[in-house]
Amino acid sequence: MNALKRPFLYASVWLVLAVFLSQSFAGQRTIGKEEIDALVRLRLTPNRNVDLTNRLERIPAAIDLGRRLFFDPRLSGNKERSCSTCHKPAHSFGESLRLSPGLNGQISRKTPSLVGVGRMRWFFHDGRSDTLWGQAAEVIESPHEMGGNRAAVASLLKSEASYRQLVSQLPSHGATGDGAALVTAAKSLAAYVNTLDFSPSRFDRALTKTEGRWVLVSGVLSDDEVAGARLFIGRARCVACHRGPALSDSLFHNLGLPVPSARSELDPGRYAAATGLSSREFGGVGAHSDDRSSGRRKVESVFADGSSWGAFRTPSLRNVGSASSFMHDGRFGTLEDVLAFYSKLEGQQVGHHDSGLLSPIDLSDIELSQLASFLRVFSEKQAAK
Amino acid sequence: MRGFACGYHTALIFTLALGGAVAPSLAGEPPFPNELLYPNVVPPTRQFGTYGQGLGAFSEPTGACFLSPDRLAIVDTGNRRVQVVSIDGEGLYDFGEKTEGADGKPSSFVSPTAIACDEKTIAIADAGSSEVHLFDKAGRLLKTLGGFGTQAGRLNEPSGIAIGDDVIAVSDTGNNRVQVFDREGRLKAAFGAYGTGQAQLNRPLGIAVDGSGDIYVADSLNNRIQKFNASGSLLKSWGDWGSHAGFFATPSSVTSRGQHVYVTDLTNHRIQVFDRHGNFLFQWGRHPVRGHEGQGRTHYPWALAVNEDESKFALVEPVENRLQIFEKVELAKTKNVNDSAWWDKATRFHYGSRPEIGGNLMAISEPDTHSVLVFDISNDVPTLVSRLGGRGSSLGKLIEPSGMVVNESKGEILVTDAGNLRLQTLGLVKAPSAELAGVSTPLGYLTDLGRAVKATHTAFLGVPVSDGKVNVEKVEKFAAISSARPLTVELKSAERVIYPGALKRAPDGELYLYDQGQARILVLRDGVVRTSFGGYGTEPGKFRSVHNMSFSKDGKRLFVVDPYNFRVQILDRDGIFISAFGRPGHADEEFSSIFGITSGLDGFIYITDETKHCIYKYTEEGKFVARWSRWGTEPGELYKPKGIAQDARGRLYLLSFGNHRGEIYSTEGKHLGSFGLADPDTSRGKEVMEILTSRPAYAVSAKSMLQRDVSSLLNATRVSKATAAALQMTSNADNYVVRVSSSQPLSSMDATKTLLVSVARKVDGKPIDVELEFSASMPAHNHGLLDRPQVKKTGAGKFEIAGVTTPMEGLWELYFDIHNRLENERAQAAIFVR
Repeated sequence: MNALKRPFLYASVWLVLAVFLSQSFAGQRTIGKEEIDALVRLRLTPNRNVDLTNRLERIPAAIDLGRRLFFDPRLSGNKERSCSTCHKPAHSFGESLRLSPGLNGQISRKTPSLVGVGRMRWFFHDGRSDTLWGQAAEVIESPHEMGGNRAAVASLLKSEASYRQLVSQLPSHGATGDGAALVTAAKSLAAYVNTLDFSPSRFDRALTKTEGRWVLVSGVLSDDEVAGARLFIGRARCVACHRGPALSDSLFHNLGLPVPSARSELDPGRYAAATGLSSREFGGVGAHSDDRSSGRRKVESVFADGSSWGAFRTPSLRNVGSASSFMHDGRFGTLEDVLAFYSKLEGQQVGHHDSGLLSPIDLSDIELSQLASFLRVFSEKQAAK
Repeated sequence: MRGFACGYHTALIFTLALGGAVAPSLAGEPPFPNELLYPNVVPPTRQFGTYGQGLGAFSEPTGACFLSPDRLAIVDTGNRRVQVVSIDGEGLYDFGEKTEGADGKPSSFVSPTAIACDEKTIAIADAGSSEVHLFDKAGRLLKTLGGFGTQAGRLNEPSGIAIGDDVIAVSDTGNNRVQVFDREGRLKAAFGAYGTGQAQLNRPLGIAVDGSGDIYVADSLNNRIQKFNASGSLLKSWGDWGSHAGFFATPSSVTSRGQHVYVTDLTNHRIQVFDRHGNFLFQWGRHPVRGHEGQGRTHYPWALAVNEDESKFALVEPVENRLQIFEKVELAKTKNVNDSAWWDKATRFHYGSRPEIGGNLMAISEPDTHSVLVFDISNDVPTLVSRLGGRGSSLGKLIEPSGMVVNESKGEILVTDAGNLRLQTLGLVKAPSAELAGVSTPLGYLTDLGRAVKATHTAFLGVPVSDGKVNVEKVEKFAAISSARPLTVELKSAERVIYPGALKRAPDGELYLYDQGQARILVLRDGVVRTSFGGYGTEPGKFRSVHNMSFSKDGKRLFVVDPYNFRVQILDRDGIFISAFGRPGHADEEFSSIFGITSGLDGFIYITDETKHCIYKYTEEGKFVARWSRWGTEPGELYKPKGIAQDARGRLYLLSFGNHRGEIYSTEGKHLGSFGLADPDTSRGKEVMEILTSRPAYAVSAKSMLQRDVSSLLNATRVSKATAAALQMTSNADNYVVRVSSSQPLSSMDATKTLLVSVARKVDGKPIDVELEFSASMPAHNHGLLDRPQVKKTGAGKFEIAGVTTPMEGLWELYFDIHNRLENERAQAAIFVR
């Protein structure tokens, strides 16, 4: 090749490469360091929560026992429902229907996914349980949900050989009195559910650290998904509450959702729950707790006042792509419906003397679909372990 | 429009002239589709009443009871009488002109405020004379109880009364207690004291006795109902500030019939019904959408009369001069579809008691929302700049703000925080718009970074006073925190607590503060009481109440609005009586319920009358000059005018409460314009609504605002992780230096932090023994901490605060409120959390 042609060849190679690379980086071309930092804070990191009130939390025998009990319908009153009846493994341990059927009609609040629930600080939509094991115990005895009772749980743990054997391997813990077996079951269930954690998603793979700096890996997220990510941490401000690896602050907020006309009562949410925290039988402060002082500190940190009326727990968004319904009462059927609400706040209800938490974000149609695409990136199928 | 419940309501609301239609619209033809979803607007079977003095007309009626199935006895406060009407509103007769005082002397009703009746007795509470009159059913006076005072058996502006089997229960409002008498007037029990705790009261209004003899009290500023047995032991307490079911906003009355307890939820504009255990059953009533419309729309429902078998309900609305009669048949159709009181009210101004002007700043107190609105009045149309306060007891929050003093050069507003028994200084911060780019700041109900923030300083009041002489107790060493302010007087006994009200600054800087507990005026110089004068009575120099004060142009004389004596008194600076003018009546020179006063600029005094709906002009010698305006809703007409103030140009600003707007007049009585939400269709009206409703907001910098600017705050914002473990700040009134170190970077969103705090005197750096309260807030989002931290004192001026979490990204303000038992001062820092 003569001297003139070689540079030309190199130039055209570079040109082609440049075009190719520029296409790949199109979405990330203008993403700044602060935005990368904000996205990095959403990356999945190991769950560091430890529930001191549940000594069985990481005991292998308890996890094993909990896993078996999770699928055991004999925990329920009519022997036909297990935890997995509503918390279906194939649906990220959530419900495939909009709302779950209960024992006396439909359960009014949506069944949440249990994946990653160990990262939360409060349990149930209204946070009325300060511990995961307390939530399990309450549901087992709830006449609307499982209709079980502690005596039946006690005899189940005694009669079933494998359960007897696993229970004998458990260390002693704070279960006392006639609730002891129920608490053992509940703490074991919590130990198992605690292992149901998020798996790294395509989002988590899209960020990598090179030479000490975080960068967005090209080609992992589409341009639309990147645009959605920038809305999530930027103008749409989702990250204000849906933050951290779980995409939830595990706190309580009242969005001012409009009241559907068919309802007869508004749901007080956190307000009603907060006042009962310190007197819960199955809780961090109660007799069955393995660390009452941390339980007490947690319960005392709660403001139980009118500002928490109608507030519900921020859900994790990591499984939102596979959810069948959204909001505490399952009122929205699609992610797009949720985003449409946040976009316009149509019908938002704010008390006259209050200011609402949200302002409308006014998404265009394209932006709405970009945000939805981004959120769907996190979803995954979680198989039963 | 943004951020409001009304959505598509709003456009419609803005096309209606506020206060245009006095004739009611029918709830049966709702203009808004959502009406059909929320049928808490129950049509009354009858509605009657209009402003006037004759039979069948009313002037601020405040109570009613069923004398018989088809007759009501109505307390017609502004007309100083009880009027008996048929259930259709036909005026039958009235009484009250001839009665007897507690001293046995002939008298008339002064300001009757509550009524109760049974087969034998009609009982009337008169807040104006602080007495209770017992009549028999034929209208003959049986006994008069009370008379002003704090001793057992004496009363202070009683505003509620109820009759039980053998008891007359009186809500002794000004004394924050309940007194129970037998039918002969002998005292059986007295209980309650000021406070927010169990069995304590903060401005109790209505009262009821149920079939078992238990007593319910509308504990209005605590936003709850408290239930006691006949001897005063607390049985139950329910309610909190809010608008959902079971929450209240200033409950004004409570009525018991059968198993039901009815509560008029005044500033939620509705009635709530409970069982005897406080369980919510149902509610009805909604704020009007069109001004004064009625027909099931309820506006400041003050009291409710319920007949024997609970088949008829008579709702009294003083501001509307009307009653609405509801029947059980209609109420039974009420469905609890939406228990929130608020979903369809667009406007947020509740023009409250007073405007106060300092230079180009005007502050307006808004007791309904426990806030103070701040306006820039350098132009012809006042520009809303900020809203301070919001309901609460921490620094920067208010309960029932009343008097104010505006100091434009210092950028401070001193507020009588009446419900918290204190005076509070709120400091304003200049906010040049450019600097606020990137920091969104809503103009909402809470203080916000952009315009006004610093709760500088609060003085708690409780200066012992005896027999007109100031009794200064020993100086407490910890209170000598500043050489400029040696105040140290300790609260000794509950009897001597000051209930602060009207406030005015004399031209030479002295503060005149009215104490409702003792009916006297305190003169404060540099925070110390120089003298006090007054005391309860009708003689010259005594007061029955003082609603407002102002000074003469030369500053030597004080003008005092003494409404229950139907006069304005002219006193010297030490309270020595000079002269007085005014007498009760409806002629030009006669007074009905005078409220606001302003003077000091041009040698004239301007006074407002709430129930004559007019303005008076007098010379400083007390000579009548003119009376302006009349009752109505048109421009230039007034509807329950409240406070009045005058700017340096001579313009008069007054608040027309019933028209939900402010008015501006010239000194010749010419109506110059309205402000607030007078005409939503103007661009100014729309702009104001934008300010109120849009987020992120609108940063307006008032030209005339003060020295401190926000740049130092903004400079604190971007604190990097490496260095954000320590802070130092000077408190807002320059008395303390506060140092904070943190176990984790303060700017960390995820870490739970433990703060170590030390407080020292600025003047010499010595640590000082004080108490500390910690809170934090995100000014842009209107909320505070989501988890409550624990504050532990570890030494003199040393504290450990555990469990501090700031879980949202953005600008946070950290507040360190330092109490020395008498005064409370705030130190604050801004941190950008990420």
